[in-house]
Amino acid sequence: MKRNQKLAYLFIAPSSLILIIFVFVPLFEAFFISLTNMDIYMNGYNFIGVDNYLRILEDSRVWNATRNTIVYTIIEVPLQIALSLFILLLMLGNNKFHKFLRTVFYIPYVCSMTAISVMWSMILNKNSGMVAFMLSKIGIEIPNLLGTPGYAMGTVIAVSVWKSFGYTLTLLSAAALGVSQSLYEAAEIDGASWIKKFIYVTIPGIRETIAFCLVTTLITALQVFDQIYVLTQGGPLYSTETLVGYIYDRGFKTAPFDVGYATSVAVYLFFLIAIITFVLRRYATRREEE
Amino acid sequence: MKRKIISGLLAGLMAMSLFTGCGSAANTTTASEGGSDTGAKAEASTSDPITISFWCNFTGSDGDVLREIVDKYNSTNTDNIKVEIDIMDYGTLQSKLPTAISTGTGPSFILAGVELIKQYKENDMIEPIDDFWDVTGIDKSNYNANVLEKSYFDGTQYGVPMQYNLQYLYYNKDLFAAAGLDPEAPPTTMEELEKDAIACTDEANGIYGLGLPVNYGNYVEYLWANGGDVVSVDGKENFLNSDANIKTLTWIQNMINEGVSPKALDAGEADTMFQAGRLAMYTSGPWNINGLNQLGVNYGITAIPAGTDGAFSPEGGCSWMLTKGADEATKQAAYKFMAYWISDDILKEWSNRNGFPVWANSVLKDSEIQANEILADVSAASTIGRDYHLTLDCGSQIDADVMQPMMEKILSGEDVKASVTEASAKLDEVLGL
Repeated sequence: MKRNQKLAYLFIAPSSLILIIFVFVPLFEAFFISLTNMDIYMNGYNFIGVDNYLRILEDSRVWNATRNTIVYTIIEVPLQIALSLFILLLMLGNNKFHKFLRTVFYIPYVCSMTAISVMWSMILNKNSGMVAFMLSKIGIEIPNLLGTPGYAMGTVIAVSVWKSFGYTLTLLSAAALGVSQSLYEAAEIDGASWIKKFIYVTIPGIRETIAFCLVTTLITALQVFDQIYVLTQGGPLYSTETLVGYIYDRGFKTAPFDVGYATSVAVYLFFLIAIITFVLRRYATRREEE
Repeated sequence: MKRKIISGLLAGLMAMSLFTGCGSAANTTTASEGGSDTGAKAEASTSDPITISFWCNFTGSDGDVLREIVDKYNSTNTDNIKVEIDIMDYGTLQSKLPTAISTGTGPSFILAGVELIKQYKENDMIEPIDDFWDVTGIDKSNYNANVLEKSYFDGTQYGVPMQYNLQYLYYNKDLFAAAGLDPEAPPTTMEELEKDAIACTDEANGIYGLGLPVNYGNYVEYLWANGGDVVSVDGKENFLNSDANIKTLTWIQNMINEGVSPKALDAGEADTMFQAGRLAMYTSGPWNINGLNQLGVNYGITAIPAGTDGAFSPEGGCSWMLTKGADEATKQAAYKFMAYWISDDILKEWSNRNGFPVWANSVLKDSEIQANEILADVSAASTIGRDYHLTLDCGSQIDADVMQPMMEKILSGEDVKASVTEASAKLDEVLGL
């Protein structure tokens, strides 16, 4: 081993150690716990093999939660990125307010998801909320957005997009600022309109950042929890219950606090996320190579 | 160069976003100092106060009163005891307590629902406190036996009651008067309840007669009233799928169809609507009294109306419990605080300010308590308590997995019989039958 190679290992040692202690060890521990019937009191639990995993196969709530998680993800992620791109397009046309708007849109992202969810649940409340009251004054009766199975998921997604698009927007606009000015100038000489410049110069220039946003928001979306916990508690009739919500419910909310089973669902979610991310990355890199 | 700055920025943002998720949970509470630790320290030097701490989930306005009483104890007690209070929500408390106790970083004592005593005892989290009455010299017979009983498990005392409560019927006197009903004559039977609910409903103005929230959990008081039930006290029998229950639940569904309650109502919303004077009647525990008094709502409280079989209400309460491994000094200090709590002055203050029923004979005789109209009504309405799966391990599971989905379905208009059959099968599963 060369001297600077050793040095390199020395440099990465501290972070590897942290990674091992705080990521890999808990990960393997979780795999182990998922094979036991441990409850929250951790007294006298036994190794029960793959029983928990067999239970998942029969548990309709897991499949319902999987479906909800996927529905949430495939609607929320593209919507968030599309909205960010759209606003980016509008912002590029106006440089004066660019910075100001970016800050404004970023504010909800900095706020706590819980606080924002509480606020929205108050606003959207059918019986005491502002939206229903205002609309009723002009003669529009809205359904109970958070309390009706058909609307609850859409409402949760809308709140999530509202809160998080500032994050994607900031990343995308930072990347857009990095696109070489000479490309725009060349496009201008060719007589391209600002919308054409956006489509043919900006988007290709920030493609990698879009892919990055896609992966990170996807992982966050698959782990959605806070907003649902506050807005609907997974209801009505489990129509917004996601996998993380169900894990929390089994492990910490409903007796007998079945941590072993909850962990096995968590392991299942881990693999779900791993597979989806893997496939997506394969796809994204292939696109880049082309 | 610009690219590098941007990628650096991206990496930073990404790292930040990774941490935001866990940060909020970890920050909600700061672990209190271990009771045993501080107890030992106090023994070493008598001038240091003995610090004991407790955890509870009194996140509402009653928690503020509790905090005031604790502060008062800290500033007035002559035993050099300092009580620290740590309030967190129920989920956090449930998930943190077991690990905290087993690693010795838990509180010296806890304030928790009596339904948890069995679970905590069986999982070795609390100490028996059989000698409480002897050590403190308090006359046990001064307190309602049925309330004390809730803190016992298998004949051994594990807790000292802190409060006792049932579900009551709240009604808005102004809305009763506006509907042409006698504001001093709340419904006493389920027929009257229905009749009054219909009379008070004025949907055009957003006023409803009776709140029937979907996540209220169980409507067991109405099931009991007509001779039905959910589960036997020992948890070995499933009574859910019965004609009596189907009849009662159909009655509830009919009231929804008649429009007496807003559809898909949330329990929290029901509180708000009652406070805003848009709900004439609803069922809730005494914890709303403090808020209603502060808002100046003209309301009354009465017992849950009777059905063909009588009137019943699910009872509950909270107890002080000593956590496992408490040393002698901590135990003595905790006993002194528990004794302070069940003294007449404090029980009276708690009832007066929060509207919880009085369960000590000496306090009942107090003139101020007797003059408090709401409290008199609450105490009168508290004689119909009945045990609803208080001692069952799977109690919360019955509510979460069986009763709540069933009520959600029934209240949203699905077939009652099918919903009950489905829920009954689920209940069998939960009970392991």
